[in-house]
Amino acid sequence: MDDSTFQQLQQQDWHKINNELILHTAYIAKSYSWQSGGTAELAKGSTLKDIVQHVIEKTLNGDRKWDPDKGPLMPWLKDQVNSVVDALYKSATNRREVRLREDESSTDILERGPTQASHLLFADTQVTPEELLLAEEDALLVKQQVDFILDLVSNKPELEDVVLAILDGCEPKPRFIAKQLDVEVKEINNRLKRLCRLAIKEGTYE
Amino acid sequence: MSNHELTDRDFLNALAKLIKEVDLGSPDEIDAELRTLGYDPESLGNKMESIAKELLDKSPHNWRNKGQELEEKREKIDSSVSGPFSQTRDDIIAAIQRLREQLGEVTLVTAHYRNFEDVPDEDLSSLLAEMEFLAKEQNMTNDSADE
Repeated sequence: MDDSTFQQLQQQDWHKINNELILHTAYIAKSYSWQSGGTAELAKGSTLKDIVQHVIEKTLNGDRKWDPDKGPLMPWLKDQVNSVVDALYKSATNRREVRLREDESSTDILERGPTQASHLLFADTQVTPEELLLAEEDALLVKQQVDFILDLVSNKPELEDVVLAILDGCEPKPRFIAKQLDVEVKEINNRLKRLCRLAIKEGTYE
Repeated sequence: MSNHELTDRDFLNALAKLIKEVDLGSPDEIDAELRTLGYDPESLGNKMESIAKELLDKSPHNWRNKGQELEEKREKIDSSVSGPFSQTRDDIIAAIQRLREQLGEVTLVTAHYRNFEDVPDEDLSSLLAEMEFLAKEQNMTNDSADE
């Protein structure tokens, strides 16, 4: 780390940075939980604080190298958090797969009989019965998450509009959603925050 | 699910991507949101502020720690600019002024010490140590560039 970068890190308001990163982490952890079908629930206890503290410490000691010439600190820190949450999410997903494979023998799975879809998959690929079962379970969990989100926004027209815009194929960036719905970008940010708040409060599999 | 035939997973991925882009608002709005989620933003922020301060204070990149490192190595440094710390206050100020001409007004420290009369001896010695360190680094950089 060069002196100029270090001096810029010294001048930051780490109180504010920390709080913004914790809120960001809470939101994206919830979204990862949706993507994993609710199996990788990270947004609990002190985990959020641990993730943010880890990223900040690694930045300050130079293990994670912020280059001021390449962009401001906060977006870069958010990318670092995204990367850590992504790794934790993948790790949690892998643990679930391992657990499933340990709990059930392939004989047990085969005795249940493959579905019609599995015949097609077996014909064309090297997918094992275990992998097929996992894929089917994942699809079901993902569908449950989608249903959860749709329930969450039902009877809330301003949130339904955002969801419908995404389903309509709108580029998933606040400015594009705002343009499609003909509202201010700030309004979309507020709606998304409300959606995240509702999801975190209502929980998914709690 | 839609006329663009997004799968359930496509939809969740798009929503996740959108959430990463959310502008969280002002610090006050962020703290209010954290409170809504059951956090104590003051406590969270203060704790991290304290951790960051400690890390920055102890960092080897901190010039104060570099000054300490320099002091440990100064016996090995062939300093043609100044003598040992036993020199007089006037000698130290003269050495600082010579180094200031060499380094220019680029260092943070010299900006704080324009009037040396009010500066305690200890701070003058510390300032000289840092400037000597910077001068040595500058010389090493120039030497490397010449090679």
